[in-house]
Order: sequence, then C-alpha cells, then structure tokens
Amino acid sequence: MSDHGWTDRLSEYVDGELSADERQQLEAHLAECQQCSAVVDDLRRVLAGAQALEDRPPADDLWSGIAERIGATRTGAGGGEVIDLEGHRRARKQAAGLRERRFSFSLPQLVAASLVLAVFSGGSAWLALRAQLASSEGQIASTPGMNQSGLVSGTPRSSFADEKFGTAIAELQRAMDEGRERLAPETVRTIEKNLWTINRAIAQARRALAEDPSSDYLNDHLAETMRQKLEFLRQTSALVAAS
Amino acid sequence: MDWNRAGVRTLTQHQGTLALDADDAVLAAAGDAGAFERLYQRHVARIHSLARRMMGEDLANEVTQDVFVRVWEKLATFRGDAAFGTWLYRVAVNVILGRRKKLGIRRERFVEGDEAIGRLSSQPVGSETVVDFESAIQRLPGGARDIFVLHDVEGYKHKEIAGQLGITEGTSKSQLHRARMILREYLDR
Repeated sequence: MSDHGWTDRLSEYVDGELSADERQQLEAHLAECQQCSAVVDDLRRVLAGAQALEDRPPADDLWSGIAERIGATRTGAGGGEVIDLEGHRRARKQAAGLRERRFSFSLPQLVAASLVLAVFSGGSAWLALRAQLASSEGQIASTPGMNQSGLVSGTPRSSFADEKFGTAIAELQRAMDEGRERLAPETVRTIEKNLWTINRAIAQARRALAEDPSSDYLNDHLAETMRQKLEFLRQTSALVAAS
Repeated sequence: MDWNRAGVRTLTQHQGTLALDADDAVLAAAGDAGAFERLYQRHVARIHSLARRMMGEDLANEVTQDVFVRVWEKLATFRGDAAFGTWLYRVAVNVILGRRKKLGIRRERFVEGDEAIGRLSSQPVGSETVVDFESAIQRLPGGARDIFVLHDVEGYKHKEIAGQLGITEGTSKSQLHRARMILREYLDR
C-alpha cells in the first residue's frame, strides 16, 4: 500500500478497528508522515466534538400535541391520571373500517372458567358457579364498576363468571401481598410489572367488550387473560409460600 | 455491554432515575398518561436532539412527537430487559429512519466528493463552537450524516448501523470517514 494509501483508513485506526498488523504498519507510517498524523489528530477532534454535543430540549411545548394524539387529558402538577386507551384505539379501528360482531360468553367458556376456579379455590367457588351456569343462558350483562383496583375507573364488569374470577383472584392476591416482604425486591418488581401487564390487558378487553359485548375475539381474549392471571397468581403464591 | 450512548448514559444515571423510568414505564403501559408525561419530560431533550441532527430543525418537533406517540403505542412490548431510555432510543431511531424513507429523502447513496459546508462561519469561540458544529452536521450529505450521528454522536457500532440502514459495514465505515473529513475541514477554518 502506498504511503498515502492509508488516508481512507485513518478513521478505522482512530476507532481501533484495524488488525494488529495493519495498525503496526500504519503507525510506522505515521511516525514519518506529518500530513497523515495531522489528519489523525483532526479526526480525533471531530470525534471528541461529536461526543461532547449536549442534548437540548425543544423550544416549543410538544407534550400538548402528543397528549392529544394519544387521547390523554392534561394532568395536573405531579398528578397521574389513568386514561382510556380504548377510545383512541376504537377510533382508529373504526377508521380502518373494522366491523365487530355481536356475541356473548359461550357456555364452554364459562365451564372452562369454573374448572379453573375449582383447581385454585378448593371447589366452593366452583360449586356456586356451576349453580349459576345451570340457570343461565350464557349471556353476559355488563354492569358498571371497577374490578381491577387502582387501574381504571368506570370499567364495566362482564358477568357473574367475572365476579367469581374476581373472588379467586382477590384471594390469591391477598396471599401474595401478605407474603411479598419475604421476596427479593427485584422479584417483587418483576411480579408487579407482570401483573400490570395482565391487568392492562384485562381492563382493555373489558372496555372493548362494554362497547361490543358480542365480539368473539374479545370474549375469548378476556377469558384467557383472566385464566392467565389466576395461573400467575397461583404460581406467585406458591413462590411466597416456599420463601 | 456498551452498545450505544443512550445505554451508557442511562447506566450511569443515578439508580433512582432508573427506578423512576422503570416504574413510570409500567404505569404508562397500564394507561397512566401522567406517568408517560414524566417519561417524556425526562427524555425529550435527547430524542429531540437526535431528531434535529438527523432530520433538521424544520422537522424535529414533528418527528419528536411521532416518536413519543409510537412509544406510547408500543409500551406493551417493553419487556424491561433493557433500560427504558435504551429501548426508547431504539424506537426513536426506527421512527426517524422510517420517516425519512416515507418523505422520500434519499440517503444520498453515499455521494463522493465534499459538499455543502460552504456557508459555515469562521472558527468560533466558546459556546458558539457547539452551535456551529451542530449546523455543520446538519449540512452533511444525508447518508453520511445519518452514519456520523449514529456512530460518533450516539455510539452505535458499524454492524448495527449497517443493519438499520440496509448497507454494508464497509459502506458505513467509508461514509463515516467521509463525514469526518468534511467536518475536519470545518474545524480547520
């Protein structure tokens, strides 16, 4: 390679990306070439200048536009307000021309839920659910109220099955809460994060169901998500008990 | 693993700030707009600066808003296996590159030859240096600018840049060198 054939590779040298042999050859060249040495110095100054750049916030308030696009209301100082994501997402779905069918919780879904409850709650809740299943038509009436504490206000409930899930969930949640101090903080954080994710999915499915209670997908999704929450709480309670 | 400046900065923040980000990310994922606004306030300077450097002043505000709206939509996919700032930054780069593509801004197919530093002032003093250096970066040819910002300003490696821009590592290296040589001319003035 000619003496100044190294010019195009000087950045690689500055970044430490040459092989050992190449670096050795180049350094031998630099020892004798002021021009290339000067270029290397300048390249290092450019890199240093880039790394020294400070971030600065926008001159304008951009949050208002963001809040409007995500469907959030402006919060007060230091406050946090839970918002309805479904309003925003529903608007997008309507714009895309999605149609939602009318449906209701099927009898098999309610039976499946009752089996889960039998496993987790020792049977008493299952017996009560079975009695209600026997007298129901498998339809779900939405009633307003909040089930997932601290998450969303005004979230509609779906059915008596929902209430039974809620009872089993609450019992397991209580067992977990009572024993959480025995767990490592990192474990508690992971558990809480996972619960937030599951609760969010449940809350969103409920809100969407309130608008279209007959949606196949939403009914299935809610039932499955609540089963997942029960399973998660069961496993977590077992972890607490073992700690 | 130090794979980008966002990750490095986040890792060097006070532990309380990391915990705040993690907690607010979980709350925001559950629909808490107040928590999301807190995340926005902590990270907007970095995101806006990236947008400004890669898209220019005119589009920086709009692109910054696009980034945060996308982040809000994707919060459910944030697994917490990286710091929130790192994940946010990754989303920002993807949004910016997608926006450039959508606007039909060519990534300069890596033109040869120096361009367009012409109107820069003579070498400034003090804080003016930073402003002019930023101006110089924005005048780089588009593709070289992307690579320079991602590599030298934000700390990406060539392999990552190549993957994001759909180019070879060799092209990334040569264009970085081209950008530095142009900016070197500026430093010499």
